[in-house]
Amino acid sequence: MIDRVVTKADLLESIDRLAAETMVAAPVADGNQLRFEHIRSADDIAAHYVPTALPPSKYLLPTRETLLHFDWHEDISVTPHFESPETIAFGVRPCDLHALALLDRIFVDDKEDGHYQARRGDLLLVGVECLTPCDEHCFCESMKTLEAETGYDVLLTDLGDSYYVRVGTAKGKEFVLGVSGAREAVYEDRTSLRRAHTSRAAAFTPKLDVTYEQLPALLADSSDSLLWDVLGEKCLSCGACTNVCPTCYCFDVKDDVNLDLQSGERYRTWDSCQLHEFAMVGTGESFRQPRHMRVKHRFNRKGRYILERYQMQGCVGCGRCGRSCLVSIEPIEVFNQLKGHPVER
Amino acid sequence: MSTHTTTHSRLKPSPFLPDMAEIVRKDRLNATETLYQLRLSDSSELGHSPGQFVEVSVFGIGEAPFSISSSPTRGDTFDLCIRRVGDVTTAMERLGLGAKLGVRGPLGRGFPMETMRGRNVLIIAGGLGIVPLRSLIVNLIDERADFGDVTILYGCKNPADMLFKEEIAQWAARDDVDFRITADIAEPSWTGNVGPVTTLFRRLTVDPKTTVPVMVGPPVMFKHVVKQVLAAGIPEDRIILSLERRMKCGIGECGHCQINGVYVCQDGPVFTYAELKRLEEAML
Repeated sequence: MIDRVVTKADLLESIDRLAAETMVAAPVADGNQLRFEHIRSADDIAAHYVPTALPPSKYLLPTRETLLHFDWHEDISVTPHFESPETIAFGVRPCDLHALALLDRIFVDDKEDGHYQARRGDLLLVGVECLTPCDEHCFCESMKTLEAETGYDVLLTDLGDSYYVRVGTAKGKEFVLGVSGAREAVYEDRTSLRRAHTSRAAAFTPKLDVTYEQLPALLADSSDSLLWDVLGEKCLSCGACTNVCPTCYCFDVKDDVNLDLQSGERYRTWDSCQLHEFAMVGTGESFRQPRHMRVKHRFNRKGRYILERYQMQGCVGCGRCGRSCLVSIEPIEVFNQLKGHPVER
Repeated sequence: MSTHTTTHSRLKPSPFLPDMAEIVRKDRLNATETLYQLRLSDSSELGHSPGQFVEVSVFGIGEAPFSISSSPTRGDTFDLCIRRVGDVTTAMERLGLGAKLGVRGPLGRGFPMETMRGRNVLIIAGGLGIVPLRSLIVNLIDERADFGDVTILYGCKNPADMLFKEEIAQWAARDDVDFRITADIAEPSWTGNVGPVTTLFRRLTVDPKTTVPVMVGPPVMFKHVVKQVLAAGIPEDRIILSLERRMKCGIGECGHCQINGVYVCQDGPVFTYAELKRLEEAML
C-alpha cells in the first residue's frame, strides 16, 4: 500500500475527533509509570515513553473475561459471551506489535478462540517506531523485534513535525485517509525515513551474547545449570514478570454465581506459572513445586518453547519483566550468564 | 437464552461452550470414588477413543478434566469414575439421576489403537490408572479378535479399595485375557501376590517384537516399569504412557498442563516413551 505523510498537528486533531466517538487507548503518564488508557483527547498521550506497565494485549486478553453465561431458572441454559469493543490502540511499540502478532498466531490461527477473535476484529493498531532505546532493560535489537514488518494497521515514524506512515491493512488506510492533509510520500520523505533508520541502527546495539535463534539450543543445553538454583533462591514467586509480559497468556477458568443463585458466569482470568498452585492436580500434587523449576520454565517458555512451537519469538525484548522484578532478575543477564558461564551440576 | 444443540463440531465460536449431558446412572464404588454414567442430551455418541478425556462442568461451581472410563464400543453412554477431591467432584456427588452437566470433548490424544491392532497388548495399571485403562481393556475385549495376546497387570494399594471389583473378576475369569493382580498391603484374607506391580512383570515372558506395553499409574510406577519394558527389548516408540496433569482449558491455551514445551491436554495425555524421555518435567 502507498506510504503517506501526515503532520503531527493533523494527526493529533484526528485523534481528538476519534476519541470523541470511539475508544482510543494510548500511553498515558501517571507519575513514573506509563499505562495504556482510554484518552479523551490527544493531549493525554505521553510524549516520550518506555513500554507501558501492562502491554496493550490487555485489550485482547483482559485480566478477567466472561466466557459463558449460565442460567438455571428453569432448565439449564448456557450461552457464550463475546465482546468486541471498537478500540484504537495508538502508539503501540514494535516489540508489542510482535507480541500481538504472536497472540494472533495462537488464538486466531491455531485455536480459533472466538472470544479473542471478537476483540481482535475491532482493534485497530497504530504503531509508532522506536528511534532511540528505552532504557537498560530493553533488548529488542537482540530479539529482532525493533522492526515491525507486519502486525500493524498503521505504523508511524517520527520525522520531526510530521510522521511517515506505513499502511498495513485496509482498516489502516481508512484511518490515514481520515487524517486531514494526509499526502502520499515522495522521494524526500523516503530519504528522511532512511536517515531516521540509519541513525536508529547506530543507537541500538545487541545486548545478548546470542541471537534469539540460538536461545532454544542454549536453554536446552542449560537444563542442569546451577544458575536456575541461584535464581530459584532469589525469586519471590510473586508473578509480576508474567503479569507484565506481552507474550504471557496463561489463564485460569472459574465460575461465579449471581446473587439470585439462579444464574452466573464462567470467566478466564490471568494466571502465572510462577505460582506453585499453577501445576497442581486434583489430588494436591504439584508438578512444578520447586521454585527454580518455575523460573526455569518461564525462561524456557520465553526463549525456547514458544519459538519451537509457533516459529515466533516468545520474548520480544521489551524489558518489562526486568523492570518490574523486585529482586532484579534480568533476562539479559540470565541469557548472557547461561551463554558465558554454563554452570554444570 | 437458549441451549445449544451441536455436539462434535470443532468450529464452535467459543471453545469453552460445553454440550449438555445427563447423569443416567450413579454407582458408589467405595468411600471416595463414584462411577457416573452420562448421556449427551441429544443422545448422540460421545465419539471418543480410549485414553481421551472430557471437561465436565457443574455450572456455578466450575469445570474439571476427567478421563473417560468406558469403551466407545458400548453405545451412547459414557462412564466417568471420579474421586471426590475438590469443588467440582464434591458438587457432582450431590447430583441425582437426570441432573444436567456440561461436557466438553472428547479432548486430547488417546491410546494408539492402530499400533495395537494385530499385536500383543500388555496393560500395566497402577492404582487409579485402572480408570482410563478400563476404557481400553473393554475395547480390547469387545474387539478381541483384532488383537494378539492381552495381558493385564494391576497393582492396587489395598484390595478392599479396589475399583470395578466385579468387572475385574470377569476379566480375570476370561480364557483370552491373562489377568494378574498384586496388592501393596496384604490383608489376612488376601491370597494373591503382594508387592509392587513390577513383581508381576518379572514373572512374565514378553515377546519384544510384537508387544505394545500401555501403562497408566503414578510417576513412581512409570520409572520402574519403563526400565523393565526397555530391558525386555521393547523399543521406546512402542511404550505407551498416559500422564495426569491439570488440564484447565483442554485446548492448549491456558498452560496449566504444560510439561516443558508439550501440552498434555493437546499433545497427550497419551504419549510414547520416546516422546517423553527428554522432557525433564515428565518425571520419568
